[in-house]
Amino acid sequence: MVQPRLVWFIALKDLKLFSRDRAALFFFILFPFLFVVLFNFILSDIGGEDDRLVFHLVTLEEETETALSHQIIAAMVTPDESSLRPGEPLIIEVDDYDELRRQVEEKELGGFLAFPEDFTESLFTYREAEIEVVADPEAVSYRAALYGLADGISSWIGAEYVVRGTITELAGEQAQDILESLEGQVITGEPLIGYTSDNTAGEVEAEQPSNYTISGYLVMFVFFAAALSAQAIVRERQNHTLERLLASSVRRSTLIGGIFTGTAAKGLIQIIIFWTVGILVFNVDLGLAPAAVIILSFLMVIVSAAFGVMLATLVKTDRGADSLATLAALIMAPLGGCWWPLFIAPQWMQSLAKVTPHGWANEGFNKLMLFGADFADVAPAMLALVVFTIIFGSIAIWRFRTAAA
Amino acid sequence: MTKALQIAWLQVRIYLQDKSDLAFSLLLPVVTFALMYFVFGGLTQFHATAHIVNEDPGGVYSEAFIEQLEAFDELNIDLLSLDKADGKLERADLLMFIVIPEGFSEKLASGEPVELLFKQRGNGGQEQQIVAALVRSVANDISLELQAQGQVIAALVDTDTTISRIETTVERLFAEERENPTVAVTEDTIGSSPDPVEQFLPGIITMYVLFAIILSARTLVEERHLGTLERLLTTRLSVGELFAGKFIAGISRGFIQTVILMVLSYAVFQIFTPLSFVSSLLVALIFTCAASALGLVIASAVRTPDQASWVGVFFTMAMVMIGGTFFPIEEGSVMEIISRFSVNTYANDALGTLINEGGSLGDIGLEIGVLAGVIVVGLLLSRYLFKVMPGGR
Repeated sequence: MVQPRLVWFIALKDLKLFSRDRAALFFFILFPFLFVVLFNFILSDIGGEDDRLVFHLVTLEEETETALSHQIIAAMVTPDESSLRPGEPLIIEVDDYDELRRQVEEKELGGFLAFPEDFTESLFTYREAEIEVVADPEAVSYRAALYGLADGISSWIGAEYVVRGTITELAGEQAQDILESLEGQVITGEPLIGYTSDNTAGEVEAEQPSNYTISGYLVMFVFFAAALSAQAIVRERQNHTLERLLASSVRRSTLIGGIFTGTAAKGLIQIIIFWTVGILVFNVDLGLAPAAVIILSFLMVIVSAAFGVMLATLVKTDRGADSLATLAALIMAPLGGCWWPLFIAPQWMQSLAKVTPHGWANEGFNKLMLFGADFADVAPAMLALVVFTIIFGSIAIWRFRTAAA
Repeated sequence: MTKALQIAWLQVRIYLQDKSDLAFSLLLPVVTFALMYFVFGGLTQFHATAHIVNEDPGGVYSEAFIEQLEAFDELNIDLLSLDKADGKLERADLLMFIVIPEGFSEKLASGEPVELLFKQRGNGGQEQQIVAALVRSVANDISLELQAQGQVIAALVDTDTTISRIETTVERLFAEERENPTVAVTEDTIGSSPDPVEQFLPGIITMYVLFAIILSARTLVEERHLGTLERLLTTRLSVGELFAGKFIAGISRGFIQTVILMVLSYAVFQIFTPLSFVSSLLVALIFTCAASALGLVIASAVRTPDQASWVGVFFTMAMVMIGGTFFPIEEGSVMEIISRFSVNTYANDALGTLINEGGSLGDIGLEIGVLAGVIVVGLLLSRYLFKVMPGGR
């Protein structure tokens, strides 16, 4: 049976010991914010770019009446930029292929589309024609956009060939006459699927970096501090403090409860400071469900405290506890998305992150604070943190010893 | 000097016998590098989410449209209700969504034109403009297929070909066209993709060497607290010899760790030539000396082991973050000026020049000079602050 009053006394004792080292306390609170400030500074301009995409087209074919590439480019270039709808790309024809290549080489341009000199000839002689995407491999997004444009051209020409092929196959002797009557382009008229755009919601604004840096560093440092507290527990086991407590009226369950509560209390102090400073100083947006952010933070605190107690039961010396705590904290932090947002990582890495409580907590925070999720959307993350707490807590209770031997 | 070396040798033996310390110093860099390799090394393909509001649920063409979008490896599809999408756009939780209007499939089936609605902020941001381009290309494909079918039906109206035969033939030829396009899209890349090994490896090695050395400052603080250092002075050891021993111990421990990591890199990634390997080892040795001196500064300046841990973690993380370990620092940016305050910047730049650019020691004179300066200043400062007992001499 747990003795609540004694649990509180033990927790209070841990907090007193912790607060006695003022300098360590200062660093414990201040350090995470120095990282937040640094990252806010580094990432402050990211995400606000909203320039219209510009595509450059060039052909190496000679300009003749039959040169298809010239006709395609003429049909695609933007005649008047002011007539473009929001988000519609600007398409420009450029004559100088070498100049465009130079710009890509110098990283002034992400890439361009080029029609080779035998483009029309290849099409007319039923050889495979090509459109070339010339791109800087580092311009990942721009390359994707160029591919989209090139595929569009390819589809359009392909459709023309499908029409001609179908007529040739089905019309028999009349095919030649029908094709001649079509004169040039066989796909005519406006596309059946058009589009309109509405940008009355406002302009693109850069994402506030603190919306993801604060949650990432909160998770990392709450866990790190709890993991480091394992060392203090091991030290108390080594210097027989735990045994002495047991020799008094304190029960084993009370002792575990007290240590756990003390560690969790330190974490609670951290999250209160984190969110207070985050909201007041960094103008953090807690999203549509602030209560979910608070509950998720609280669950991260208790899972970290359970991990800290469990860690103390797995090692023999305080030096071992120190090494293992640092090792665990520094592996789980990047794996779980504390150093960089998980949503930029590949899907399998996002799945791998789920083996850590950090991964669940960060995914939940990102959903709530960046992507407008509501309470129900992060319920699985909350449940996962509860499961982690039960697992770590069960191991801690099972292995907890008050004596070194 | 012999006594200082003996102290250093003792620390090295302890390091090599301590499995958890070995794991920390060797396993952690390997795991971190693997993580970074897979996270950032895979960023060679565009990836984004297309937010779709489907007001034509169950429609043949709306479902086909969404299916074709899902076939893009580059896209995740997020289906939303109109209210939810509007709310998210209002709060800037998303920058663009596409509305498939009611009756989309019915109208297309009857040959009537339809319009997709792009609701967005501004131009939609760069990422969503590319999503829009991909969405338009899918819409264009569906549109072309229907137009082609209509065109053939119109052209063959005077023949005895049935509509179903025309539809079957058009579908088959489109399938063949998708398989073997008349116009192939080829790619010519200029320059190379950043190699994650070259980009991250030097930074990861210097990061963990600095971590290990700086965190061992805690041990020195503990020894001071427990009176171990004071007891050592009751032998014939002088404070200077003790200080030198701790300095050399830090170097030896860090250098052994670096050599193991570099030999592993050499064997696995073949990134060194024999000359660049030897030059890199020299840079690593100088960096290890600087890290050891900085470790002594922290150990001498703080009062408790917990302070040593927190200051050590913060100092290392700060050096690493501003030292360009995780992201390249743009030339001429404010960040570049800030990065000059990180000792890791100089070590990473020097190793980068030797490994990636095939440079020689002559090309990294500035970096070596700065690291040497850190050693001198660090040693002078730590010797001034160094105490063998709390508050004592």
